[in-house]
Amino acid sequence: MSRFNMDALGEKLLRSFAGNSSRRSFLTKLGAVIVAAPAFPLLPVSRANAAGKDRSPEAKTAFARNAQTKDDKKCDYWRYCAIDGSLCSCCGGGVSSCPAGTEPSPVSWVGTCINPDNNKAYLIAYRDCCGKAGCGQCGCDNTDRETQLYMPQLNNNVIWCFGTSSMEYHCSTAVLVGEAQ
Amino acid sequence: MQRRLALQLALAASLAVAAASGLSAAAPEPPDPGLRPYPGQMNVAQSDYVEHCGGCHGIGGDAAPADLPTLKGRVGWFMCLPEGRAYLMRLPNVARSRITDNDQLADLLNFMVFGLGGGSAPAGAKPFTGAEVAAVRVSPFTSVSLVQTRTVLVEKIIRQCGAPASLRLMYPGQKAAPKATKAG
Repeated sequence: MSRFNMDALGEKLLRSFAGNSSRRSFLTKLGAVIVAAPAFPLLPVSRANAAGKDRSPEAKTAFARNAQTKDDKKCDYWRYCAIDGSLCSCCGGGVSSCPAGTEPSPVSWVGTCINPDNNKAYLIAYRDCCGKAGCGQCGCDNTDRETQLYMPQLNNNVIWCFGTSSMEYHCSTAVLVGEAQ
Repeated sequence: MQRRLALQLALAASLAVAAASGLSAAAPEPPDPGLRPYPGQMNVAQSDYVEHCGGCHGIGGDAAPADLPTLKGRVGWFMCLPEGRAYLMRLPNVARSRITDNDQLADLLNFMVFGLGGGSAPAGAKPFTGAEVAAVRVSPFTSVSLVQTRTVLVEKIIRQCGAPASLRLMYPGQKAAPKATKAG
């Protein structure tokens, strides 16, 4: 006889489980899960779809609820709801202008951010400034409306330095395009 | 229909307010230079374009010198052939757009073709309808090379409709035509 009898241990465990739990309670819980599951959209794409065009305050994200409109050198400035990278306003540029020695990418990633002052949604183009080594200041990663990399046009981790003379990423700006409809 | 009417009313009201106060729309932010092809308020189709297409294709339909097709002043040429019309609707990012409402997607396409495309659409080209979009978007281009599909189509459009040879390029003035072997 070995001191550690795995067979007996397993039997004991299963018997106590069978003795202490009822089949009905399991079925009840399983039933509740099946009925409740459709109420919770689980995948990121269907979650983003569900968000849709609802611009009401109730549909606000955590970012939008805590955003401010005063300091564009902080990650919680309202226009930065989907920015990923260094803020150009900390790198010698502005919220919508590139620092000297870099060029704006002609392509961008477009996000929708809510201005807490008037509760309206605005389209924001995140243009990367390219052609210089990474700035490294004020690194932010906000993810409103962003989805996984399997939809690259909706993923903000992509570096958008396409069509510029250099693909070297320096920092990101948040250009206000207009009010979202 | 009702939504469009409401939009027009809202637009008229905001114009009246702006005229009365002598101010432009009370935007809390200063305008960003160089990126404002939509003066005043955008309509739904324009806003949808910016949100779903404008990042890559450019807010005003031009992202040159990035290596992707410029729409501004040239996308209308595709309306001259039935397969060109279908091509625009079957592009994966159009057919599989997150805009599920077919009428709304048709409005976006019409803005792209007749708005951004300027005068490039042939005279008498019929606008897209929701029913047409619904019928065609169910068969997107999935397992074909988009670059090759575009190349073949563009040759036809140049030959049959008299489109400029620069339609072969991603944007007028591009240094080399895209290689047909490149993965779409």
